[in-house]
Amino acid sequence: MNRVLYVRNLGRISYSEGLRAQEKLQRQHLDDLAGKTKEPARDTLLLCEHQPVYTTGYRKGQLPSSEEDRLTKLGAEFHRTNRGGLITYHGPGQLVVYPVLNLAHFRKSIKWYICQLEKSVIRACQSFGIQAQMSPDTGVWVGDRKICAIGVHGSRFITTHGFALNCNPDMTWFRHIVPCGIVGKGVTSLSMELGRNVKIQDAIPTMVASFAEQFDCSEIRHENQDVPTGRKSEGDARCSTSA
Amino acid sequence: MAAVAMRCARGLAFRATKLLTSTQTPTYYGAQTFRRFSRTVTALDSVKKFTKDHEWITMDGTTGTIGITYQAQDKLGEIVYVELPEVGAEMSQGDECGAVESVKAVGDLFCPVSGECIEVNTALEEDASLINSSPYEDGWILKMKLSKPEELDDLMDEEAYQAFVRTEDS
Repeated sequence: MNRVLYVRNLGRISYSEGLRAQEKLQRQHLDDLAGKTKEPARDTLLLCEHQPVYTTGYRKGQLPSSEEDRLTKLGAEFHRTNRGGLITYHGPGQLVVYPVLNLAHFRKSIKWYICQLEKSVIRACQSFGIQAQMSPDTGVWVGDRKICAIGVHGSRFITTHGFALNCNPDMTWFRHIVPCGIVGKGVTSLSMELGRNVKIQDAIPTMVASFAEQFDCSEIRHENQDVPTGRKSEGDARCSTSA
Repeated sequence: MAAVAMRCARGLAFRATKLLTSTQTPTYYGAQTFRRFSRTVTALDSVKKFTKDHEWITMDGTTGTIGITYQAQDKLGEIVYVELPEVGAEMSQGDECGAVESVKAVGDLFCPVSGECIEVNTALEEDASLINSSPYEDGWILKMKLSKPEELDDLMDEEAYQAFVRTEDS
C-alpha cells in the first residue's frame, strides 16, 4: 500500500496554535470521510516546540483549580485538553509531535496506534544508541525514567495530540508535577542519557524516519523547508523557581 | 405467493399468516425483507442494531439501550474512564454524546439515533472496565427515548456489522 506521510515543521509555537493546526487537519480528514471534499486529506506529522505549558487530559475533574494557579505562577501556561492521559509538561527543548492521521489508512485500532507510537520512539532512541522500552505505564522509558510522554485523541479514527520526546529541556519544570500521574518514577532526555547536548533539530530527522519506518510509509513529503525551531532551543525558558 | 413476495421485496408492510410461515424459507425472499418480517414476527427479541462507529443499540418499546461493541473495546484497549452524557440532554443522530478513555487515548462516542438521554450507567463511574468485560450487558452506556425510531433503519443488523468489521480489518 502506498502510504505518503506529510511532514510539517511548525517551529516554536504556542500550545493553542498547535491545537488549531491539528483541528484544521482533523476537520479535513473528517470532511474527507463524510465525502465533503474532492481533495483527499493528508496523513500529516506536525512537529513543533512549545513555550512552557502544563496540560491535563480528558479527566478534567481530577485536577483542582488551585493546582492550575500554582503551576501558572511558575511562569507556564495551563491547558485542559481532550487527549488521554493525565498531567504533563511541554516546553523548549522538547520535540512535540502531533500525527494527524486517518487510521483507516493504517489499522483501525487505537490500542495498536499507541503501541506503534511507542515503537517509533524506541526506534529513534536506538538510532541514538539509547536502549528504551515500553512498560505497563504508557510512554517510552529508559529504565524507570520516562523519555517520552504519549497522549492521544481519536474521533472516527482520526488522530490528534501525540507524543513529546525530551531532547534537552530544562528538567526542573517536571519537578512541579507528578508526570502522567505516575508516582515514584523519573523523567529523562536524550541529552541526559547521552551526556551531550542533543537539540530538537538533531532529533527531528531521526524521529521522522523512525516514524515512517514503523508506520510503513512508502514516502515522506516535507510540506515546508526546514524551519528553525526557535532562536534558541536549549531549555532557555527557565522555570521561575529554579535557583 | 409470487405477487406477495414481490410486494415484500419492495418493502411494503404486508402481514399475512401465510407469509409468516414462509419466513422459514429465507432463500425465497430477499434477505433485507426477510429480516424486517423476522423483527415483526419475533417482536419479543431484543434485536441489536449497529453503527459504523462501532456502537450498538437495542430497543424496548421506544427506549433504546446503547453501548459500544466488543470490537470497539478491543480496538481501544483497557478502558479507564467514560464521559457519560447528561441525563435530560436532547441529542441528534451523529452528535457527539460522550467519550471513552483507554490508557492514553480518548475516543468520542456518537449518538446512533436522535432522542433524549433518560439514563446513564453510573456503574461505569466506579469501574469503566465493565465496557471491556461486558460490552453488551453490564457495560451499557446510556438509555435514550427515541424521537425518530425510523432512524433505526439507517443502522446495520448483526450480519451487516460483522461484514463491515471484516472489511475494516482487511
